[in-house]
Formats: sequence, structure tokens, C-alpha cells
Amino acid sequence: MTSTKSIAAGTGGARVELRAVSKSYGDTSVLHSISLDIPAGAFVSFLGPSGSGKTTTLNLIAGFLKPDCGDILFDGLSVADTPPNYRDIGMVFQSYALFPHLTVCENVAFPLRMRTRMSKVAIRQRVAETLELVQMSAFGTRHPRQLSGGQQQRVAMARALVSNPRLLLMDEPLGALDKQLRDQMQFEIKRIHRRVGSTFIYVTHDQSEALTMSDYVVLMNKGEVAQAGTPSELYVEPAHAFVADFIGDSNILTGSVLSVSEDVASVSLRMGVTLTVPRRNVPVSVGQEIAISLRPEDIRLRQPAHAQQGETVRGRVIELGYLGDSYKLCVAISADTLRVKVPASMAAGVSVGGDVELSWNKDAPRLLRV
Amino acid sequence: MSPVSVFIYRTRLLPAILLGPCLLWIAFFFLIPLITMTWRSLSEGGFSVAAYHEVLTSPQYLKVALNTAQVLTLVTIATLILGYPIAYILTMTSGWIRALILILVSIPYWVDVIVRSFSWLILLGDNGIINKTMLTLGIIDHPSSLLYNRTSVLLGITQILLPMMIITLYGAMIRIDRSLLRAATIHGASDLRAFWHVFFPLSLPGVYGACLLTFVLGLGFYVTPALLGSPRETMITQTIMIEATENLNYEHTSAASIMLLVVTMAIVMVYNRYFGLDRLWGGGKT
Amino acid sequence: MKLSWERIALTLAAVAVLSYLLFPVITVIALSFSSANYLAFPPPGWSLQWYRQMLGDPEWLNAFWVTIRVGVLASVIATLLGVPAAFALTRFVFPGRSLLNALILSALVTPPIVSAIATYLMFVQIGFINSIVGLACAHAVAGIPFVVINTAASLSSADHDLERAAIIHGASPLSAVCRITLPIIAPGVLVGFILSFVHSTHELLIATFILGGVGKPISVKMWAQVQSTTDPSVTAVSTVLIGVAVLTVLTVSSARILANRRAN
Repeated sequence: MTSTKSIAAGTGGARVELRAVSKSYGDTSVLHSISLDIPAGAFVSFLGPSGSGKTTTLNLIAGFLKPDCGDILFDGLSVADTPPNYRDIGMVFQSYALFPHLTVCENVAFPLRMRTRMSKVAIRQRVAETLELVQMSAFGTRHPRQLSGGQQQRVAMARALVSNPRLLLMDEPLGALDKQLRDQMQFEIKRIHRRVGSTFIYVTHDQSEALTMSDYVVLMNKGEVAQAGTPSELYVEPAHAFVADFIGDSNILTGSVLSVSEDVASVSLRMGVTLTVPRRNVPVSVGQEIAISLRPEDIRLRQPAHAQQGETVRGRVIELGYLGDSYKLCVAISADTLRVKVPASMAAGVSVGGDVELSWNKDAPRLLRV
Repeated sequence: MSPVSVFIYRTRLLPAILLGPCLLWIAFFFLIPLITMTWRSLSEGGFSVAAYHEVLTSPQYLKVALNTAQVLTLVTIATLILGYPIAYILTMTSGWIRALILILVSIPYWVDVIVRSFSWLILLGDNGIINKTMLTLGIIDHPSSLLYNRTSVLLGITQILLPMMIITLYGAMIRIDRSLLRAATIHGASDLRAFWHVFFPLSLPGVYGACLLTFVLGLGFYVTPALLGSPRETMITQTIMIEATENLNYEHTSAASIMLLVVTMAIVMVYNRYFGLDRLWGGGKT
Repeated sequence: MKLSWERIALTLAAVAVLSYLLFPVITVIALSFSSANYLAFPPPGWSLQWYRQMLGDPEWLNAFWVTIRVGVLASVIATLLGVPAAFALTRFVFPGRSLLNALILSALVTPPIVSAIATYLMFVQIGFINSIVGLACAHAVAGIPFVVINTAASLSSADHDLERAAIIHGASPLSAVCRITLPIIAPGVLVGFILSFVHSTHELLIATFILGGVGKPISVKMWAQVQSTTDPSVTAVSTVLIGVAVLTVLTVSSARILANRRAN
């Protein structure tokens, strides 16, 4: 591995593999034997609640932590013995970590000065190009404390990208920004990813952010990978209850299996209704306690006066929330509550305390592994 | 890859390498001298504790020790009473007022102890301002001897230790969560009661720490009692110093020093057990 | 700011205590310009005689020079030893850390007479008596806690991610510390250096034992003078020292303000 690096446009990203990586702090195990295969040039999110191990995984890939066992490979070569400064990584930190005593230009030029032997002129040009990429060209001579949060975030990205690293790590970079700026920056980051082509690994606890931005999502929980796949795989085919609950909003209904056939299973729900649910290859046996996920937006409203079709459940509205484009309802059905989300146009005449009938497509409920 | 980088990446010894020189220095220039002194203290007439015995039974040392303890207790109380309001004001103000008061409090701290003690000679002397004022006002008809007694020593030591007390108290007070006070006033407490029931109890660990520090620093006082006091006001450091420089009795002085050190460490350890030493060092914010 | 009796009482108390603290300092400065040969305040007349006497006495000038050399040497040693130690104590967790922390700080709580006699007894064995280097070495021990405390405070309040950001983008650990961390903590280190220097200039007991003879520093000479004469000659030296102290405080305050700005 050389310490000089030439900057070629679009060198492409690195394929990042983790093989059975574990990490503990003293007696506490933080990661249990994680294995991942991230394709070159992909945009991957590490998603999960706090304590799930996503930031630890990021720090292991960066080299700030060393795994207790297992291996980490970039493009098929182990980086276990490579110090972080030689891994050819760019990183955006949660606190941006811009060097306060340097100007924006000097901040962005830093990786070039450290990693390459480019001339001052070449460095200046590359810095200018990168600042243009993040639309911060006018701020070159300012100091970080003179910039707003969103501006600092862009400069941090520029610094991470300037030397065309094969891997870009981002640790909850948008956490400190307000919603509007966050939404805007999400698209910015995607645009930059398409332009640059490196592998992006993005840590977040915000599942909608992960779904919007990523090619692949790795959902982690308690030091393990709960599910890894494309955003739609995680949303439409959650592997088990945790995934269904974390991704999007979901009603988790519990019940016991009454009968099983090849395609469907009949489940008696605790809330007093029997459902026939597509099996989708989930192994079930009669009498088994099982969970079913049902997304609020898959449930439709019908006032009791209208004619009934298909499977319906009757309940009473106990909460009603207005979201502008839709309504969120809490409907009580015997002892249970179902959350329902309907477009505003479909919710005419609904009020708290009123009765409603709920229905959904046969395919909407999903059997979950527990 | 540079071997240095790889070495730093692989090694667990980095803290040891960083601390090593410092600890070696302290071991050589601090611990070894202490060991040398301990050895000397046990060398009176062969290997014995005779020196300790003589010091402990010497009426002179006992008298001085008693005087030291009394003076320092009074000094600690005085600095606490005078210093607490200032520290409180510092905590409650902000901006330029706080900065100004901090500077004013700090300036004496950086003036020599000799100078500050000396200035009391000027104030309290026969031609000093207090005597002159009283003469002019006709309260007395000849200068009264205000110096060379316990009061002048107290005034001097208190003044010298006061900045340290203020800054230590301030360091502890500044960490008290102000929203607790606001919570108290919102729920009906007057300013005074909020102070007494909320602020004051929370400041107590800081108070203990500051008192400890003041007392321990007071044990080292030499110049002030020598300059401002009579032989009755001799404090422990003076006695040891005189015996070392005039009588050249290093066995006695070593023994006395060791005992002084033990007393100091005992006080510090007792405090640490109950309150933890890190509260003393205000430094930055935790 | 409401004007309650509590605030008035507090303000009066503050004025009183601050006067108690500062008045002696002011008296000394005033007396250094006194024309009298005895300690009279207010002075009967003004003159520069004491300054002339001080500047004309080679012993005083030599003493100043000795004090500066000892102070600078001691503080440089304390800084070179203390800054890495501060890194070790704030950035790493290892067994025995609090014990080592206590050891480093113990120099501050040790009674000076203990250090003085102990140092003397040992220095006699190794021939470090009457040596400027010797006194500096002893003073460095007391300077180390000042450097460690202030550097550690700067380090803990600085953003930890800054060093990591430098390293991940290609800087070696040493390079990251030198280019990024040190400039940011420099004001804290400077404060520690200055505190160590000032402490060394005031120190009397160790100096008496180690360097009490021909090449004595200011503190020893001042003490001798104060005990032998009753005239205000010492006040001239004192005023110079007070000037140094005021400069110190101003520098330290500015350094602290600079440190806060840099860390943000």
C-alpha cells in the first residue's frame, strides 16, 4: 500500500465485507458475530435503535476499534492490520469535526495534503471542484464557526470526498439539522453519491431516512443483524416482529394458529377475530403462537352503514390525529387497538367515539417469525 | 505504511509511553527524596524511632502543633465566611462583572507571599494607616501595638488564603444546576429560602473541599507567622525550618516532616473517601 | 437586576472583601515610591530612591536573572512531561489511572517544608546543591500538576472527533496531534506553563536549601532583606513582581478567552 495516491475521477467504490466480527467491552458483548457483504459503489444504511451496534460497526470499519474476532476486508483484502489513516476512507462525523483553526479551504484540502503529494495549485483546483460539488464555493475563506449547521455539514462532506476515497462513512450526519434541511440534504447526499460512485455507508436511527436514501439497508438490533436487504424487502417482507415494528409503522397482532394449509393459515387473533393469512413459506404448526403485522396504511375505513365485503372488523375510534395529507386513527377492537392511516379524503364523517368498520386486502397481513 | 503509525495502531502501551517520563521524573525528584528523608528520620543513633519519640514528647513541638491547629481552624472559618458570599456572587453574575471580579480576586494570588505579608507591616505598624487614622481621630494618643500577635497573623494568613477559597468554592458552585433553583422559586420559595434549602446543601461538598484545601495549604505557612507574629505564634513549618537551618538536626526535622506529611495525607484521604478529589479541581466543566 | 436589600448587602460584602484583598497590594506599590526611610503610609513624600537602589545593586539584578532561569527551565520541563501525561490521563482508560492521577497531583498538597528537606537531603547525596539546574528540577515537580490540570481541562473540552477526523483522512496519529490538537489546546498548555513559572518564582523553602548561598533567587533575597531592614526598599522589588503578576493574569485571561473561542 503506497502513501501517495493519484486522484482519478470515478475510481469506484470498495466492496466491504465483515466476516463473523465480534466486539465486547469488558463483559458486555456489543456485536455478536456480524457478517456483511456490501457491494462496491452501493449506498448502504446501518439502521437501528441506540445500542444496536451500528456505530460500533462503523468504527470497526474505520479502524478506530479492533474486532475481538472475525475479519474486515476491503475489495477482498484484509484491513485488520491497517491503521485508519491508510484505509483510504472519508468520514463525516455527527459533530462534523471541522478543524476550527483552519479555513474551509484548508479543511477540505487536509486529506490531499496528508495522502498525496499534489502541488499547491493542483490541490487548490481539486478543493474548488469539491466545494462546487457540495455548493459551498463561496465560503472558502470562512472559518467553521462562521457557518451554519447545514453549511458545516456540506464542508464536512467535501473534506471527506476530496481525495476520492473508495469508501465514505457517515455517522448520523443529519441529526442536528431541522426537518426541512434534513430532507433537502438527503437528496443532496444521494445526488453526490450518484456523481462520485464510492461506496457510502450511512448510519442512522431514522428509518424513513434509511428507506429514502439507500440501495441496501442493514437493520441491526442488540448487536446482531436483524435483516439486510433492499428497502422494499424490509418494508414489504419483514423477517420478524422487530423489523416490522421498526420499519414504518405496523400493528403487531398476536394470536394462535387454528389450521394450516399449503398457501394459507387460519389464525385466531387475541382481539377476537379470525384471519386467513397467506403463509409465504413461513413454517407454522397448529396451536402455535404467532404474530402478524398489519400496516396502518393498508387498513381501509368503512362506516357501519355501508355494505360489507371481505373480512371486516368493527371497532370504536378512540383517537384521531390530523396529518395534513392523512388521518391517523386509533381504533379499539375489544381489548386491542389498531392504528389506522387513511388519506384525508377517505375520512369524512369520522369522529372520536364513533363506530367504524375496518377492512384490508387478503395479502396485507404478514405472518412473522418471532 | 510508516512503522510508527502501525506501532501506535497495534500497541496497548501508548498510555505507558506517554506517562512514563513524567512518572519517572516524579519518582526520582519527589519519591526518592521522601524515601531519603524517611531513612534519615529513622537514623538517630542507629536504626531507631528515637527521633519520632523526641519530637512527639517535645513540649516545644507540641505547643507549636497546637497553635498551628488553632490558628488554621480560625483561618479556615474566617476564609469561609468571607469567601462564600464572593463565590456566590461570582456564580450568580456573568459577563464582564464576573470576569472583573475574577481578575480582582486572582491578582493577589500571584503576588509573593512575602510581599503580601509585608504589606500588613505597613498597615498595622506604628506608622501605618490604621494607627495614623486613629491618632488623627484622637481615639488613641500613642500608636498601639497592633502587630506581633495572633490577630495580625490571622489577618495575614486569611488574606493570603482567601483567593484560593473563593476560586475553589466558585468552581464547585458553578456546577450546581441553576434550573434547580428556578424549580424551587416556581414552586413558591422566596430567593432566600431557595438558597437555603437548595443551593446551600448542594454547595456543601464544595465547602468541605475548599476548607480542606485551605487547611492543608495553611500547614505550609512560614513567612507570614514569622513576619507578623511573636514567638508565641510560631507555626509548625517555622519550627521545622529553624531546627533544620540553625540546629542542623536533620533527624528531628525529617521525623517532624514525615509526621506532617502523614497528617496531611490522612486529611486528604478522609476527604477523598467521602467526597472524591476530582471535585476540587474545577478546571473545565465535566 | 432588582435592587433588593439582599443584593445591596451582597454588593457591600463584595466591596469589603475585595478591599481587604487588594488594599495591601496597593499599599506596597504606593510605598515603593516613598521618600521616607521607615514604613509610613501614606508616605510623606515621593521618590524613586528604592528603584534606584534596586537597579544599582548587582545582587538584585543577579537574583532576578537566576529566578527567571530557574522558572523557565522548570516550566519547560514540566510542560514537556505534563502534556503527554495529560493526554494519557484523559484519552485512555487503564488500571491504576486514578492512583497515578493522585500521585501527580500530590505535589500540590505536600507541605513545602516536607519537599524542601527531602529534596535537600537527597540533593546533598547527588551533588545538586548550589545548582540552578538542581533547583529547576525540584521546581518542575511542583509545576507538573499545573500543566497537567490545565492541559487536561483543555483536552476534555475539545471535540474528541477532531483527532479522529484528521486520522481517518490520512494523518498519522502524531501528525494529527501536532497539526490539530496542539493548536487547539495551546492556550490551556500556556496557562499551565505560566502558573508553573509563577509558582517557581515565589517558592522560598526549597530555594533556601538548594540555592540559598551566592546565586540566590529573588524569593530568598527578599526574605533576607525583609527580616533585616525596616525600610521600604523591598517594596520596589515587590512592585516589579506585582507588575509581573498583573501581566500574568491578563495573559492568562486572554489565553482562556482564546481557548474558548478556538474550541467552538
